[in-house]
Amino acid sequence: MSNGNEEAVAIQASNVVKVYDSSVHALNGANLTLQRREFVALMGPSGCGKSTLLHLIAALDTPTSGNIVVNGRDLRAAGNDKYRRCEVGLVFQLHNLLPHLNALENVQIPMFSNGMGRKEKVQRAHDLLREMDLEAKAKMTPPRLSGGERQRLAIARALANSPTILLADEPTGSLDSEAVDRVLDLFRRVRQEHGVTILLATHDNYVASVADRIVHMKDGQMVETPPPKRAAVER
Amino acid sequence: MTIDSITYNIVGIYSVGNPFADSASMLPLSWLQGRERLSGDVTLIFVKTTTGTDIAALRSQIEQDHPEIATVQTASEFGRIDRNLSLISAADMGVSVLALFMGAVGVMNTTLMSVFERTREFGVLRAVGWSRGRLMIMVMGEALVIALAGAVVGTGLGFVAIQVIKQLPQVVGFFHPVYPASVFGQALGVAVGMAFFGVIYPAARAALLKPMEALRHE
Repeated sequence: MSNGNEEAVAIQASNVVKVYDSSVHALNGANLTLQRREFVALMGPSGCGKSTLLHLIAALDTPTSGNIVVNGRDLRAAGNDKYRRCEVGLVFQLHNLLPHLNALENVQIPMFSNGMGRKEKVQRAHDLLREMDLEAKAKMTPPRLSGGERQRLAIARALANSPTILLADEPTGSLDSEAVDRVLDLFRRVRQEHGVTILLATHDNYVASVADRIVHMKDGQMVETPPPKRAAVER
Repeated sequence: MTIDSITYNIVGIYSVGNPFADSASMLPLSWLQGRERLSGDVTLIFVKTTTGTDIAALRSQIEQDHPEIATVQTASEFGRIDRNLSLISAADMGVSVLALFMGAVGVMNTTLMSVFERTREFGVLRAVGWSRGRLMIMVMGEALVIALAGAVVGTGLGFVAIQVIKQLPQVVGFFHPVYPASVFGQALGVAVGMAFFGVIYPAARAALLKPMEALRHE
């Protein structure tokens, strides 16, 4: 039985442990709660477990122990393909676009079994590219796009099936400052216009400053969150 | 004409339309039996029938009346009486099976290499929600399309090769290729079947990749 508070929770990670090769402890009892439509930045040094936690929330991997509930769904339950396709959108640092497909086709990759006809899918992909200011590059393949354009294309793909949660793993890590601002502005806009919950992993204070809340991680655990430094952070 | 120091007088040239018979020479039976020291032996008898004769019934009757005689109607049936032809036929079949097996291994090897090179791509597809089944169908579908294209190109090349072989003096008269639709159907079936068996393992391997491991693949 659920109550109002549970319904307002988008992501609930409880005591999540992830151990690789029986000895590498990537997560040591991580706890994280995100409310719906919240924009949270996950900060910490390299190797602190940010990416691992994101990957577990995206159901790309399974925790060694602990549990993760997203939109009321326990990810330990089998069959997470549809969850990955429809409920979460993933943005990686290195884009992970398919180089032999053009921008329009890349956006359509997740759009199957979503009830849309072919024309609708193409239209949806065009709409997303327009939203990301990439309409003119629809026929271009990723190698012909700049880093910022590729990342915007990756965001468009992540939004293809209108997910409720957007997970971004160091999305600005390989971008110049101008492209970073553009991508961050896009995240803000996506949150407002699409009403998605955003969890963004970064080690950059400037990038984290655009979030509603910053959660710090160290050695696979959450550490006490310092007060937001949004006003103080500038580039 | 002189063969093996024996001079023969050619009294006529015949053609019955059967390459096996047309490549032979006719000699007086008694003379040939004497030369081969096989007096009284007959190893081959041609039977000429009248129009409308039931060949199958005639053959059945001959073999029933003379159990020591085997009848053949076409050159390809000579295996019934000549064990060497049976062996050649078996060897031919063995080579064909080996070629098919090697083809299937080739398909598997090529597809495995492709799967290995595209590991990261499969990781991305799994990350955006593609199921194992869908991924497997994609890999198998690609292999089957390539196999069909290969079958079409192979059929064309085979046709050209046959036209060339037909012109070789060694096979003129023996080699009369026919192209019934069933041959093309069999070629298509073999190509698709070979691709199917060759791609099962690579496709399963692609489908069983764990998304994170695939995404980390360099």
